[in-house]
Amino acid sequence: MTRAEADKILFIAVSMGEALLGCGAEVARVEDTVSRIVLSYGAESVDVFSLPSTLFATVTFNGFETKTQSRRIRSVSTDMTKLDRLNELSREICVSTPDPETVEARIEEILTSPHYPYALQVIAYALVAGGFAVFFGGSVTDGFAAALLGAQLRFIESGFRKLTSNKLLVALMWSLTGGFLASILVAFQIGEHLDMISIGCIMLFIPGVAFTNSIRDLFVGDTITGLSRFIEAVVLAMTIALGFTLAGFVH
Amino acid sequence: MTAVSQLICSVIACLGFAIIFNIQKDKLFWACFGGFISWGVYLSAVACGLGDYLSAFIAAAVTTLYAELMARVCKTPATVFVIVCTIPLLPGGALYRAMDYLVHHYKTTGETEGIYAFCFAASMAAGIICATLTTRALLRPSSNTKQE
Repeated sequence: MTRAEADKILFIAVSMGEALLGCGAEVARVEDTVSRIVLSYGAESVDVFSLPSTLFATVTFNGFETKTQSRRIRSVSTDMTKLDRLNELSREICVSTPDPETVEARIEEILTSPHYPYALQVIAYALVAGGFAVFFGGSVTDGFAAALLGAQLRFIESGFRKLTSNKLLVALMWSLTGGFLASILVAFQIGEHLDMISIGCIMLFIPGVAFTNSIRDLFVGDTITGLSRFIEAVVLAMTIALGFTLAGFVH
Repeated sequence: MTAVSQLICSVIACLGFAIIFNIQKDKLFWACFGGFISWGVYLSAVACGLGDYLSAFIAAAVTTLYAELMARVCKTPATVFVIVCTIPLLPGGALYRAMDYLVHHYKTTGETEGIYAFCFAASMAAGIICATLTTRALLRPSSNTKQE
């Protein structure tokens, strides 16, 4: 094995780690996957450390000095299909150790694979908002109003995402708009309870998954990951509450 | 009546989230059915008088066992199912109310709600971990189930 090959192997391993983190994999899975990949290509030893936002891997190959590569992960969007396919690919890599160029192309192919069509996502937002509005005790009309608003929020959210990459600012802006639109709906008597319509829409963006997963991370010993995700979830929830409160003042 | 409508709504909400999280078509049904299981078990446990936290623990554990089973049937990481199926249980509402009270200066109510959200999420996390570890200990990972 040449030095360039060793470089390439470490490169695909951290690329895989980066891709996994980007679609919402747990850090334990990422660390495990990266080390399995380099070991299956014949590395002597490997140390991987991952946080939700960064990934470091240091590898020793027989006869070379140690190599380190790191990645910075800027945005995460949960995508279970990609997670599933990347996981499958990594299993395949460990068994058949294909050449790094092929792996790189496969990862790229998985990352650019399509999501559900936009129209279906709009419907999904409506289902979540409407479902939770009734779930928390709203009437059927509340559910209908929340579904209408939830579908709107898909457009509003993607619009704000184009303006800024700051997650908190996006959350503040959509919750402000969402709260305002909810009171307009109630004023026009589409839906009865403002709080039920609001909570339905809030459930779309409240970091419930992140909140519970952060505690899961804490319990399994990924303390820094757990803490950072916990704080992130709390701050995001606070921002959303602030947005709806401000919308209440406007009303 | 509330229970029935809640169960229906939890399935609808799960379906929505499953699409948002881009779960493949062939797994959508099982993911939604998991949502039904998680809220069904939670409601039954509460009805038995077990209290919110213990019920959350049991519901999360049962749901995770279901997810681990479906993961083996569908050959996919269990996380895919765990994330979606536990959605009806997540204390998102309590987390929001806690922050809402704090923003409105109702400090004590906010703190109570916040502690509730935290303990509830912690119970769920404990349930998920216990179930995951149990399945891993019982079923030795075979060649096609690398992780989870």
